[in-house]
Amino acid sequence: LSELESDLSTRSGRPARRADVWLRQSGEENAVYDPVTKSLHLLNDTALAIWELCDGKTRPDEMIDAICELSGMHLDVVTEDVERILAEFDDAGLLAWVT
Amino acid sequence: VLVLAGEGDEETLVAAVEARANGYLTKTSSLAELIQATRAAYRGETLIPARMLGSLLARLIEKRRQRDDAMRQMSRLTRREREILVLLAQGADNDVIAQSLVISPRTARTHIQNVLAKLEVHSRLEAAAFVIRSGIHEELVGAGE
Repeated sequence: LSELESDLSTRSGRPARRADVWLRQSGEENAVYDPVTKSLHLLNDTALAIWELCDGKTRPDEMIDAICELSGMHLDVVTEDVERILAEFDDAGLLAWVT
Repeated sequence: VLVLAGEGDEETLVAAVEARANGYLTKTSSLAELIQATRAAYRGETLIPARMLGSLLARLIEKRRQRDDAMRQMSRLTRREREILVLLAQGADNDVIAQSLVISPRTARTHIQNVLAKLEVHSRLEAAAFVIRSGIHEELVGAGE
């Protein structure tokens, strides 16, 4: 994971949700389903918000700035969270990166 | 400050965030949620409905992009042209601009044409709308001083 985080922090691209991955929302539960691996990934509220921002247009640093503005949380904390969540999406093969 | 507004009212939510509100509740929130939100606000936390978080962040990012684009365009203007743009945004006509800046109406007109060309807009109204829409009025006033 640390290697992935390091990789993400140096990426200049914009993460994009894979087009064939479905988001399923039921009540307060959110999950993305990957039809290729037939796996389901549960998302918490923050992960869901970041997932929605993975539109191929938004850079990770833009996500981080907006979350800092919204939450008032420290940049280091938000950066760590966003990079970790993106790394988990990437590790699960849910993202394509647009350069 | 806690804002109580309609379900999915993103405009109000964005305005509330920009006004530094601590939290946002919809009118369908329960009393328990209201109490919880009040306590969270007291602790200095920010409370946003989870289902609105993604779209709110997207709106904030979009506004920031518009602002950055506007600032880039603004950087093409000279100090005098920024002063002209401030006055245009306030609805001033050529004579008022000329009097305010102690220049001739003809010079004012030339400056205005330059401002419109650099901002790639076609009218004074469009220039004023550019300033208001991009939310750069305060920076513009500061830069013109």
